[in-house]
Amino acid sequence: MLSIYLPIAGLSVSLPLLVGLGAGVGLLSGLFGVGGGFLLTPLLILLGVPAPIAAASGANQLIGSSVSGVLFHWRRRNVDVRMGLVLLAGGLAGSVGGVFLSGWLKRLGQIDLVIAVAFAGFLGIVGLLMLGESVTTLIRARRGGLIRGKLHPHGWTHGLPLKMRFRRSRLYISVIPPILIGAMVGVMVAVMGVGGGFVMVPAMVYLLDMPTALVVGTSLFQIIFLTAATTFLQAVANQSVDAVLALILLAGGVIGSQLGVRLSTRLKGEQLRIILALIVLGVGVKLALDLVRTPADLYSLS
Amino acid sequence: MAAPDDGDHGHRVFLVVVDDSEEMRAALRYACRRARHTGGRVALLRIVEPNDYREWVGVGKLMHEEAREEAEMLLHRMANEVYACSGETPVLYVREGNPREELLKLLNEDPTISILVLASGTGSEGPGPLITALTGKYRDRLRIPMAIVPGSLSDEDIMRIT
Repeated sequence: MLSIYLPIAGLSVSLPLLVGLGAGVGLLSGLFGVGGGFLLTPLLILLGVPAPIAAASGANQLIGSSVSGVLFHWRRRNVDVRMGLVLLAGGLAGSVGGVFLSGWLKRLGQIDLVIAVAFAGFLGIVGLLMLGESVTTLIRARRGGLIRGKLHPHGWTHGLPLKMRFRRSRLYISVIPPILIGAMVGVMVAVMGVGGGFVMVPAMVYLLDMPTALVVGTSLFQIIFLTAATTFLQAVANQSVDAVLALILLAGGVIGSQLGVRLSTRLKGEQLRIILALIVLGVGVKLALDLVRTPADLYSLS
Repeated sequence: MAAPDDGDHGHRVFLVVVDDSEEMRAALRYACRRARHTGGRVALLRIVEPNDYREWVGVGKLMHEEAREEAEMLLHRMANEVYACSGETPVLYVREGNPREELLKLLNEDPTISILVLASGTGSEGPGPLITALTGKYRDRLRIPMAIVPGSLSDEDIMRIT
């Protein structure tokens, strides 16, 4: 079979498989409107790519899908630039911390374990939450239930200092919560290679109380700069970006996401969501099983 | 509303599609002035496009709710303006879906609408998606006349021609 040697990852992988993986993840991201990093990195790990290289090279993939997404929202004026910049400030700090954290873990020799455990936990929780949400909506749709509105439990955020006016979002809030949310996502981007839209979007809606129309555009806007900066930092500080891998994935991703967007208009949202939840859960379970399974080769040096 | 006396006055309804474009103001202005002078009314249509957010059901539903509320608030705000300049309260429509399809559907459903007023975009990107569609591929599905107001007309220009 046609194989290609990945110089940084240090292994040979079948080229069609890799392009297919990029296209498959691109297809999913177009279909569900998600970045896809949360699936790309664990799938690369399952292929045998070392975890830190999978995370750092996968983050690069997000830039492609985010740019096309943000253009769409920009045209509709659905980006709060100021909020995006505050989130980005937190994100960059988190990313620098995350890059150092992964470098430190790499020196300790624990990085693969930490990334795999983080993913198994993260995908497990996200998958279960999504599945639960989808199933209850399906049941409720049959009975004809009600929609839960926005919660307003965040009296605590109003007491914080450093308030700033976000005109586009019609908010006057402290910059501390958005900076913290940004920082958390920054660490995730650096260590796990996920864009964090999964976590960031609900946080922006429920914790920051942003108008929902602006949330997706604003989170994509900051993810572009955050992933670009993180890829660069990872390459310089930890030498963990495999350019060959990143390019092949990107090529596959571009093709896949176009197909996905086209397909998504023909499929129903509820079913799609359950499929996505099952995929997320499945990858998480596979990662978790690989962690505890007895290796085929007990004494390997790497 | 009373039956039209001579078919020229009374029932004329000018439909304006409320979008976020600049040129929409020109269409609105024109429709209000024309309605005032012909004893007609203005109708406003706002189309809420479905969101494609799929990750979390709760967030997606909230987006939908907010978009709908936003549309209703916007129409009520504009209704005041229309009342001020046309002397009649406008008929308000909020629809959800693809803008072109929803517009054509409304025109088919509501025979009281007698003219569609759209304004053309001033930029280099063409006159706007609705005008492009209704003068091109979808022209056969239009059952009423359509007035195209150049988006570059100022309020004074519109006053003069109405």
